[in-house]
Amino acid sequence: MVFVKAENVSVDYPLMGYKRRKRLKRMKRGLVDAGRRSTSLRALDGVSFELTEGQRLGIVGLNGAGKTTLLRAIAGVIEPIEGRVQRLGRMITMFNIGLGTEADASGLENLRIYGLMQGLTLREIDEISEQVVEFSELGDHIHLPMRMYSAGMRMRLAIAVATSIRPEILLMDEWIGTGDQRFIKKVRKRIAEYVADAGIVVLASHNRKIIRTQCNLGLVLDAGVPQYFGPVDDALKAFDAVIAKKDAELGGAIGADDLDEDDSDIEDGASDAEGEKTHVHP
Amino acid sequence: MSIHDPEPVALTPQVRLGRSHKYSSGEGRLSGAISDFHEGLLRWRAWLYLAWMEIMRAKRRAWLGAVWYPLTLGVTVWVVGPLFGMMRGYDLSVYVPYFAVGMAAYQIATSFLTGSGRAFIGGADLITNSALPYSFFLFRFAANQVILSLLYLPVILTPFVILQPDLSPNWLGLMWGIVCFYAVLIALSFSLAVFFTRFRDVIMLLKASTRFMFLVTPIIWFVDDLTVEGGEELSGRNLIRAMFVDANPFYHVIELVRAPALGEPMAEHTAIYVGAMFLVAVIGFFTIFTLFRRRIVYWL
Repeated sequence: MVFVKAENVSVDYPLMGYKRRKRLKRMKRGLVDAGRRSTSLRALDGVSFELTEGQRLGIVGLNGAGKTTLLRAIAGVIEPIEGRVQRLGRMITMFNIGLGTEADASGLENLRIYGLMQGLTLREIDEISEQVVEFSELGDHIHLPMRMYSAGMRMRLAIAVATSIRPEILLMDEWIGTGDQRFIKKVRKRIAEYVADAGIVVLASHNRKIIRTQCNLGLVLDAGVPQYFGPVDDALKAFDAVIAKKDAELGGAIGADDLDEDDSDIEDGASDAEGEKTHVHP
Repeated sequence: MSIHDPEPVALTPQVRLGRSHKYSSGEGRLSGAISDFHEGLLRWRAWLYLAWMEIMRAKRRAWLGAVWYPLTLGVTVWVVGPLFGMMRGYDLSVYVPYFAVGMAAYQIATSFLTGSGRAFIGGADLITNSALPYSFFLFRFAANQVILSLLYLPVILTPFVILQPDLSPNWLGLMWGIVCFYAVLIALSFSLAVFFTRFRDVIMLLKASTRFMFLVTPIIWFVDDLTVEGGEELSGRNLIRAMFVDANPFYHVIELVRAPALGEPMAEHTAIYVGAMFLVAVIGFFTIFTLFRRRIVYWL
């Protein structure tokens, strides 16, 4: 029985080494909690939901709303200061593509690193590696150091590896990134298949289309406070209200209508040309 | 494209993750720490491989990479050793092996202690973005250090092979000594790893003090230089001896391997001293790991 359960989850980030009391006083009240012993920033405030098999939750919110923090709390990276997270099931987190990769190691070695970190044995990794290389279309490039890969190539490998392991719980943080048009299409298909196959999905994204199509539940966050939890279409409407409110506060620059669905097919940074060398300095 | 896409997608059924792990954020600190440790141990393949990768990383873009560490040690042993030995009028076939083992043990020990700060800080990206247990990073660090220290072995052996000193190593004692040597260093570096992540200044302090400690620890000099003159024991130097030898943790940690390697009896206090140090380190580590494990991510 796979489940993810959040009960009244609140997360505070301590501000390490932040001692400027005067500046704190000038800040808007409620932004930071300046206690006697430590100063902290509330990132999540009382989030509750329960997910079971087949439920796919999309988290939406403006920048800094707490989407990533919530994912991290579910993953167990950070412990909530109040409330509780419980989950049961084999979980994979995809927060940062190319995480933990060795720039100077070959693609194949990185494949092994990734698999090992997810808890696979070398034999299991051998089983998937051929298929991973094939999907990534890297060919003989797989033997070259990752340093030589373009951003698109790195993404292709990362997605190929990540989606070759099937979890029961999948946590994703806005990761459908770069690549050429043709590969993006292939990746879309793969991810759809992957997401559909996972028992529970929690996906944070700014892409409304992805949220609408991939998720059946939605959670709206605003400055860490949950605004709505329910069917995804209603959640997106609630998110529009949040945007409208923000617009009114800041003098109304962008209407919510303009945001809807205009991110037609390819999102952020898809223009990255394949084959173009991107040097990483680790 | 939607999840209700009518077009059947060929599923590529692949490996499923092996274990289903129940996670509850509310679980007690102690049980949380224990399961963290357990989870970390289960991933031994990964941290071993990553530790190896880390050593290879230094090698990949360089000619020799990590081999430089033992190489510089070798140069030190064979340049400073004979030079200093001649100056002091030591028998070189006694002094150079003594110096080589002491120097290597000291370098390994300081590398463990000062390097421990990197265990979590170096894994910051992974810690904040994946659900790997904290102990995973400790094990990766320890494995890396143990592998690095093994590279010193050929250098340590050179004086024994070349000078053919007239001594008979206590092999059983040496085996135990090596086990205890690593055990105490791993225990100490684990607790320091947590501590250093929070208090970054302390690691600077430790790094700065290693050169000083090297000079005041019997590595390039013998304990007898301090306490014996002209064949007679100097009783007036008991306090100085107590300070720099008997109370010096580095001395005892080095003695663990140096004494049996040279076939000498271990100082009587060494076993007790190291045993106590190990115990304190283990209890200290589990205490701070239990209490502060969840804070580590905020300290990064």
